[in-house]
Amino acid sequence: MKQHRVLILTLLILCAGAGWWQSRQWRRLSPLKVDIPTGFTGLGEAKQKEIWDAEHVTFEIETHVGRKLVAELQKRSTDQLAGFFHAGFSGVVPQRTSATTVEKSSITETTYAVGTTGSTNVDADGFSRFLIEGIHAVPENGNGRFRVLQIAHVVDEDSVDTWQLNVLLTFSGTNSAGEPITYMSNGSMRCRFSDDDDIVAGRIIESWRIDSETVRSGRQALMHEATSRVGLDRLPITDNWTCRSEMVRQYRFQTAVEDFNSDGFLDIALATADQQRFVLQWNSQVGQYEDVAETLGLSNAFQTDRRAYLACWIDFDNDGDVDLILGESLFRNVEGKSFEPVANNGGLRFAFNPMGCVVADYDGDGLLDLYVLYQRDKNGDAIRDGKPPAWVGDDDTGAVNQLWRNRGDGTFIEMARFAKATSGKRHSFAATWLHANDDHYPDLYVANDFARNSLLINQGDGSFEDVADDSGVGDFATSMGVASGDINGDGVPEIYVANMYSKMGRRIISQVSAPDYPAGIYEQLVGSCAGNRMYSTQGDVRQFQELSEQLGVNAVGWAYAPAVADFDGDGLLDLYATTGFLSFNRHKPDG
Amino acid sequence: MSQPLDRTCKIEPLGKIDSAAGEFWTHPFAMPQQRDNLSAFETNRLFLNVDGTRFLDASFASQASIDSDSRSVMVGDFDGDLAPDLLVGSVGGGPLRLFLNQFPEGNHRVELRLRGVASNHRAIGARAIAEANGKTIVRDLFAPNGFMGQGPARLNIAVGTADRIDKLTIRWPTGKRQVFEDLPVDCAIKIVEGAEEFELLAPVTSE
Repeated sequence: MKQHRVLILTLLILCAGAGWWQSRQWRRLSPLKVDIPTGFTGLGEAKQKEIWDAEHVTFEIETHVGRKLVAELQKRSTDQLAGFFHAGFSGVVPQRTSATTVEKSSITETTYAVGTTGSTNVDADGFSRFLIEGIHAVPENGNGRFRVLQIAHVVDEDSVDTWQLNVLLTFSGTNSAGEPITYMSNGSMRCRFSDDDDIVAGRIIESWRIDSETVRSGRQALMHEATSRVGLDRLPITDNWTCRSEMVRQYRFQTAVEDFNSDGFLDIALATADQQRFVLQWNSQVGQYEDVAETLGLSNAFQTDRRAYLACWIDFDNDGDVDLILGESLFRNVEGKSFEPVANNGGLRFAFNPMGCVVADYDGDGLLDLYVLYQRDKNGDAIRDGKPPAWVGDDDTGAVNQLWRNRGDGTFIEMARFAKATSGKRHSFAATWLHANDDHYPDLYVANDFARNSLLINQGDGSFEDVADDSGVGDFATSMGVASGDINGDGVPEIYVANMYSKMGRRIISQVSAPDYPAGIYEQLVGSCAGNRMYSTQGDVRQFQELSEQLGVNAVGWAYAPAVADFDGDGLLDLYATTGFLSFNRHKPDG
Repeated sequence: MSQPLDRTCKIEPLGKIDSAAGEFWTHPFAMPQQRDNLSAFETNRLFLNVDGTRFLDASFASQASIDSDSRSVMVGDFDGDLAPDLLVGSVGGGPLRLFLNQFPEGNHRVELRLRGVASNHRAIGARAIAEANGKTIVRDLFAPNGFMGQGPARLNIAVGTADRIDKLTIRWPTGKRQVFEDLPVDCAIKIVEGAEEFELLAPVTSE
């Protein structure tokens, strides 16, 4: 379990106590003297308590009201729904007169929004009917969720509290014809209650305004899972969901996909943190993947004393077939039939725990080079020289990334500092090569967990210039992944960055502001729940716009790897994004 | 809720905790050991590009919106039908899961297999500019690695309903350009740097 990542999460919650943590707890608990800035006060205790109460009320409403409300809606019962509304309930709903409709692939998206169709005032019964009519297309056995996106305490009189909430109501299901359907409404509500018992009793909603509702109806599922059919369900890799608690890991393995034997089919190389490695070759005869590592001359177990479990295909000898880095070793592909170790590992010397690598010919000599990402040194968590352990705002506590230049004689030489391509020491997680400008030299965007990201513009002379500060693409956002491609069809690639996000963080950040914190802390808090970001330029690498909210691709979750591809084949690049930190129990609340 | 910060501090609650309903207040580093959820069961997302200015959330319709604490995703044509599929790496619920593309047919694609000569052999860093039906599509050839998962270095270009590519410009990693005209779709095409002719490749399929 990496501690840094958890520290970042807790940064979101630190809103409740950043100041006094740094000024008191650290000093009290650390045996070493830590230099604390004078006058460092942090968030006031009253504000901390206010945030605590808001989060507690959110939990109570989501748990006791939201779940029951969803259950009653799934039964389509207006009688039971009445039990959630105060006697004087007032509702506002969009008129369902002229929908905004978007057709894409086999999906029809229909939206009614107050801003475009106007609104109607309704009583509790009318509101209940509106909701039930809205979700009628979603199968009754589908899933539903009620979420509080923002919350504010607005009135406290005569021991009765009134809270204003922005809420999201979603339902999804697949009908008997196999058609996937989702419903989503965004709106705001007021809840009035005197205590938790009132919330549990349920009749707390004083008003509810639905600003928009959207139904997406699909005529078919767009992908189908073939994991079992192709034999990928039998990989003997430890799984967080079935292993013992002490074996849970934030990351388990790295994977790389290519056609190593030139048969036209994609093969899979994989190395794990448990020092296993696999080469999964597509076997056309049986229609399944088979582990052929041993057959190819690679043992399934490997040794590393630096937690190096890289997986990367790279045609380093430029003979047309892909060679392989697996674990921390470089292997030469021998006609797609075997892999042999390269003498002295081709000069490659990886440091502790490489997070991944990306391949390109950065110096234009016709040979593929290698950029390797690092989070931290082996002892990076230690308290050294009286300084606290690494923190998300640091730009000098990580390990240095490597840029290995291919010399063409079977060896590489490390050039990151010389080429000004280290991206600082910012705990790098991922990177993408791209053509950010119109020359043919590949540029590099580096996604860093700490401090800001880098956009390294290739100067064409073997060096790079980091333009992130000028261009606005380096925002602090605890980044974990990145992808690039021409999203808007103007011929210039966009950069899509996967960042931290949490529902709790978004709620809390709306209740605090920069003056509540010492300089720089608020920006870190905002970055820590930034969500994914989409940077777009018209060709000037010093001028980017951030468009994720506008495009509707910001709120992915605790995101890791994004990918761009044209899934529906219409000539426009689509997005896929992975997300989710650690899940253990579907019956427990989220942390 | 988890406690704020620091791997060693112990902070008392500031208000009520509804422990009977599962609300918790714990040290963040204790959460995995206590099997407490943290940004849990979030579903992977698939967004369809509507017109370059907005996306439609097709996550649920994709049926690839798994909630398995996914980390990596590698996009590639695994079944040989030219359409991009998804190989998703996760730390829960199965390490590698393959989702095959079954989007409605009707649009056309081409896979370009570029072979560098002066450029690196696999032409990584090349740019393809396809013009079809009045639209220009620009794609760069790299082996993407969004996070802990390297995808294949392949140029898969979709051209919508166009049944030919009117003009294809390849900018090789050396910077040199070659132009080809009137290329077919729904196939793989091999182009060797400097060669005047392109070569149609026989398709392979796992189906």
